[in-house]
Amino acid sequence: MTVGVGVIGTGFVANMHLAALGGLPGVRLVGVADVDAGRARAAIRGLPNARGATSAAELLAWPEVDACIVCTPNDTHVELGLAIARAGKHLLMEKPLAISVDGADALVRAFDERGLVLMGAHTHRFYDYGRTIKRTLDSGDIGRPVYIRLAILGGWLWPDWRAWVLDPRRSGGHVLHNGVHLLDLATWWMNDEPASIYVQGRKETSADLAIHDYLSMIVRYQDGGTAVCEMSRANRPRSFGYRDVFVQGTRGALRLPWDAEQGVAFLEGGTSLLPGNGQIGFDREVAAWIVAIQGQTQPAVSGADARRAVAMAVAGEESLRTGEVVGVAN
Amino acid sequence: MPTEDGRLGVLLVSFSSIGGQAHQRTMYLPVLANHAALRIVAVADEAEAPEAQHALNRREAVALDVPYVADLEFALADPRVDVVSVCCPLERRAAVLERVAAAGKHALVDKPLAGTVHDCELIEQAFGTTRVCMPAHHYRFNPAIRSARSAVAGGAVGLPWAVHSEFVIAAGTAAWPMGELLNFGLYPVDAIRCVLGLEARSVYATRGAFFYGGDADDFSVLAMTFEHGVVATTSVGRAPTTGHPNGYGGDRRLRVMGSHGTIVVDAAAPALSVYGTESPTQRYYGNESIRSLIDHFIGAVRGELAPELGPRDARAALQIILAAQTSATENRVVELQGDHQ
Repeated sequence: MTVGVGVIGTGFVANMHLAALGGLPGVRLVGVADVDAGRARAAIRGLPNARGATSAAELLAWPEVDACIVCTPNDTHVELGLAIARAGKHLLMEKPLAISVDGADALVRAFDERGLVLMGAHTHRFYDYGRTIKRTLDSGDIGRPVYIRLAILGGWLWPDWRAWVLDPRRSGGHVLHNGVHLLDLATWWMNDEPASIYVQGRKETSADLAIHDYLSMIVRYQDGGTAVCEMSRANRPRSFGYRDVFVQGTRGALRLPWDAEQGVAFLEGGTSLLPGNGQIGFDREVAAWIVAIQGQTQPAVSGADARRAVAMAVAGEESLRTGEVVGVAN
Repeated sequence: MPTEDGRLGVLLVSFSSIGGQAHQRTMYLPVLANHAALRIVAVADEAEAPEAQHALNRREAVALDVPYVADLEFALADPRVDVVSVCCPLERRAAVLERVAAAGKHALVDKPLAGTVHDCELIEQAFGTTRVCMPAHHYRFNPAIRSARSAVAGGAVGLPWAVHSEFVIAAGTAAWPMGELLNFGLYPVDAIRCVLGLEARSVYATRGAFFYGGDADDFSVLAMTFEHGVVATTSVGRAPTTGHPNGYGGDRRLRVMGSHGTIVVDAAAPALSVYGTESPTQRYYGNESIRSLIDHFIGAVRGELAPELGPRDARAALQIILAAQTSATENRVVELQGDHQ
């Protein structure tokens, strides 16, 4: 079965999905939709069989479209997702699934009721490091994980004040926008349900920021484990890139040092990591979604998984506002 | 007054085992007995100490070939005694240290300095500023922590806004009876205070007894907010990873992020990586932190430097740990300027 795919929203992350689609068998990119006609045209340049639309409704009316990837700002996800479900299409939703738990619930319900595939784009589950750690933990080699530290740190914020991500009304805040990546990944590794969350944040790049560019998120799990998830766009220099994982289990520990994947370059401009092996999580993510649509597997990140990440992030945003520990809604 | 040969006279007060740990013998004596600036004068304990404790202390004195004095007041009156190494049970710390201070002696004290914040305050008042009372928070003297402190104090990262630490000792056989949060937690908390030069304002913690059975916690996580909103977290644990390449030292690291940069230090460094037919090991060759602590203590006693560590630091660290215990029990953030001041 060839799956016809439409991509809604053609910003930065859509390019990653479009590139992933281009390399997959059994998939046909039908076209893209963007409210900016110029951006839509640019997205399909060099793709002669793909069409452009200026609204999601127009794209959903194309009969060749079996499934959609939504790459629009976070506050549009629920309305678009429900329209896609009503149109009988499958969906890969960029993270977060929604910026409210009610919205996430509505989406999960809408797709479940119709027997459609809904997958959340938690891309980090598809990178080699994420999968290797998951396999190691599931093997039992270090026993049951009781502590995870996952730090993904950088200095690149967004281009300028026009970035919608900086507006919490649109993005939901940084816990919802980027924090969900770590919250989902740590929970997947921990293989447990979150009980509560406590989030500390900083606004380092500018005092005028309405979101926190640095987050330290402490998740307490039902079986007693704890995860410390650090997400930063606040470090200096701007080129800073640092990922560090440490897991303590009941019988051992594992550690992924910051330079585990890449070589280190000591240059006139400072020290940095060389480009990695080029493994792109988006490729595996889209492939996993397609095989789920084809009925070969369950979605690798279910709607319920994506909904849980939203619930954690919503509680995290509340913790940031109140300074308190907040329970995670089941 | 130093002894005739210029060395400081040391009185060892009690070889008590606290929670199964006899630190006087295992941690301090090896350095004190072999330090060129020190000479062990005697072993002593309070007259009120249990007879079994007196018997143990006496055996240690015989082994050291020094007198045993079963009366602390009498021992402190000995003019050859300049400094006292105190390892008596926590509930006797304040009383013992008040006697030490009243006798005009300086004290090196096993951590925790005392079991309560109130006792820390009594000790702080007793010593004032003219005598040295140094809690053995030796982790802050680890070379990696020293380098981080120096870098931060020198402005290397600008204004720090976050510190994150691991402190997981790979020595798993059993948890300390009063919990590893109290036992080990003082070390990373003190190190973070030392690196930042700031005080904690709130703490959130989780803890559990994951590895050894029983009720004593063996692994905790602390999330603290310091002055100026500086964020800090640390793990605190005694893990069962006895095959760790760093040996007992396990995973102890610190990362400081600031307005102008980030530094990362590993307390297991400097070390060689050694590979053979068995599991790989790290062979540490840095300065030993207890030796550095005692060197600092000696320098402070001699008036050559200002003590950077005293009862106030012990009180601050203990406040954080006690607040963390409350936090973990009640799953809430505990403000330090309310519940534990």
